[in-house]
Amino acid sequence: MLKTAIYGVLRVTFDLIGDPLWWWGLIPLALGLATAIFGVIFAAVQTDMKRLLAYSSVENIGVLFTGIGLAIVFHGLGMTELAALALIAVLYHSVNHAFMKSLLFLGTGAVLHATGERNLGRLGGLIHRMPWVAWLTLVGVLAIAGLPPLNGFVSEWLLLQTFLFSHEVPQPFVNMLLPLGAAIVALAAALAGYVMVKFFGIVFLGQPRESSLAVAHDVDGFEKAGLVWLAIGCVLLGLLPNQVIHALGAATEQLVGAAPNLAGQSWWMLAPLTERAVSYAPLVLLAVIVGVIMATFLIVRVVYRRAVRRAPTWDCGFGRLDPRMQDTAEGFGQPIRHIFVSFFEMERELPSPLDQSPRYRVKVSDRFWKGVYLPIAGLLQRAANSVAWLQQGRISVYLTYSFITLVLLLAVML
Amino acid sequence: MNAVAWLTQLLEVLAALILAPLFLGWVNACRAWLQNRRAPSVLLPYHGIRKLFHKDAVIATDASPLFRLAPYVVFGAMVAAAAVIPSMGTGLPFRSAADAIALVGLLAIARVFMSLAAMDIGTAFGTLGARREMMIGFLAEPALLMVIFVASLLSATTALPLIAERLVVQPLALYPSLAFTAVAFTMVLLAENARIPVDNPATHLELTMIHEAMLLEYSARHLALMEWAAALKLFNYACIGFALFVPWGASIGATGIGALALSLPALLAKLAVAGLWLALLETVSAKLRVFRAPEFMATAFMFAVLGLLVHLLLGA
Repeated sequence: MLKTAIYGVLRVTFDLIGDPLWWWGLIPLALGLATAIFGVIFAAVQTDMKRLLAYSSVENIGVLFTGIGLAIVFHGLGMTELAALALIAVLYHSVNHAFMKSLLFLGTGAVLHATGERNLGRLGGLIHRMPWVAWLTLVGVLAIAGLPPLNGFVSEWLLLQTFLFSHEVPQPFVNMLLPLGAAIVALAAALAGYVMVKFFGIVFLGQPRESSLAVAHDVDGFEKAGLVWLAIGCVLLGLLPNQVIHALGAATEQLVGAAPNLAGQSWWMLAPLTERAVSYAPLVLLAVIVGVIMATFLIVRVVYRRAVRRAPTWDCGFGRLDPRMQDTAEGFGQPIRHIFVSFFEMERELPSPLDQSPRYRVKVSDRFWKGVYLPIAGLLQRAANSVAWLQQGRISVYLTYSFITLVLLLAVML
Repeated sequence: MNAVAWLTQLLEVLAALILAPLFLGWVNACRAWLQNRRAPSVLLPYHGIRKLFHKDAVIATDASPLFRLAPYVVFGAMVAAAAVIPSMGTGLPFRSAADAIALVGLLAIARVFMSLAAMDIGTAFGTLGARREMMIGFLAEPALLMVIFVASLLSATTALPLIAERLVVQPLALYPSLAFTAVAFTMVLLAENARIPVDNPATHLELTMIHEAMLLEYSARHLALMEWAAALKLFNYACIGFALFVPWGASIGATGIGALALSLPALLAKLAVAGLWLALLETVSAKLRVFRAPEFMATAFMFAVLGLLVHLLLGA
């Protein structure tokens, strides 16, 4: 759904307008970078599963707009090949995001269905109760955190490679500021990793925070299939980038008149920029990692045949561990609140040391909601109110309106 | 691909596996000397890892399979990283599998799995460690990427072996931009490897731990793999630093056995100096409070940006 906007923006800028000026690109670029950072920072402090994922979508849309901005800049300056590469990154990321986010939303849906709970503070330990959902969601989590060899990494890699060229833009100052955008993209990607560790760790790992979670059940049949094919999509999109880029090339050909030249390259290696000699081979990388893991496992098994014993949690000898001592969603987001304090509006109620029944309450809200959306909504409401008297509910009045409009139009045309 | 290239690749991974604990032991020994203590044997990390492999593992009853899988994934990611970093030679067969950006991704895999494993049992210390580790990670990653950017602007590629090659092949010159980024890289290295001033590897106070807090519940072979992976991470970071800033000594391109044979002593010499330098930095600085770490990393980032601007303004 969100990507419809991306489609619209691409069609309007490259198809309808045709030849955008290069500096127009700076606007979506700046907006995109700001959106990415805001989205991911707010995702990090959410306590509701679905709100967390929604803010993460805000971040991804920001990343997409960053790519569109770069594409416009390059296209406007006649650097067609780079514009095509930036657009490929955008389209690739859109496809990736469709798979990853659908997988994560289906996963949270399964959790919601099984537990009736969306609040992260009341979940936990579901990997024991719902292993299918947990492990498949883990694929989505690793993908959206931008880890190789999954799909999220490929589009991020392409975008960063495109950014590396931005110093070649023949405009003073702009060519120095653009590479800094790459650092913001990297920060957003690294923060996305933070958000996803929080999301997965609190929902699926640790101990259940509520006793009611003991009845949670795993998905079955069709639900499983729905998750599995999305997870497979995430893996394949990550492992076979050349094939995906080849398919997307047709679209960039139409939009900016060029497509990355992948002819004569090995099918398993992504090397879109021949003059830079950079390459990325996810299959080889995966093979190396899996090979090392298997070898290590076998050596450990064969050479050191030692038993595994189960015992209660050690926790440095502390004997009275209970599930309330784990990090809550608020607790895990605390470093973000601390570092990016100026981004948030916080209401805090701190207990005094003498309090007999201490309470701690914190409410974090979005400055944009109050500062931008509510005023706009208020303005619309007032505008609507001021024209509301036009609505009389009588057909004769409406006929009069039509008549007056007709007369006015005739007067204008004649 | 010729035989020498594959030999380089094999030797390099083996060297990483074998030298990593030694490098850690060397840093610890240097630190002890600088602090007027009697140093432990530089071979101590080997004894520790060997001892752990010979023990029965104890795993918490609440642990999920993820907890047992994580040490292998972390170790696997670190070995894969070692395979693409040109520590001994640049003509590596695996070098086209991952460039420097993918290398950052490999290090991120290890970080994410370690944090997830730390949250798996649901102890207070584990989640605390995971949260802090991820915080340091997201602060360090942009700085590290800017460092890589500057190096790749100088050599027009993000492939680490080619960056090293081009620096050696070019006539010797001073690059002011590299000087700034070297400072930034050293700061990232200290933060990412849980060294002072961001974390203290020798601490016994759980509340101040970052890296150690995540490993509290591990024992025996799982702990051994985690410790070995941590040593490999330090070794990898040192070798990334060598490839970016002092690649001399590594065998360049597809040269013969002779250059390869020379590259091992060169690597050992570089590691010895780097270890001493790290120990010196750790000795003269104090551990920062956890929430001063963002300032530390922001400074690293600013140094990297300065390097970038210097490069773009001066073209060097």
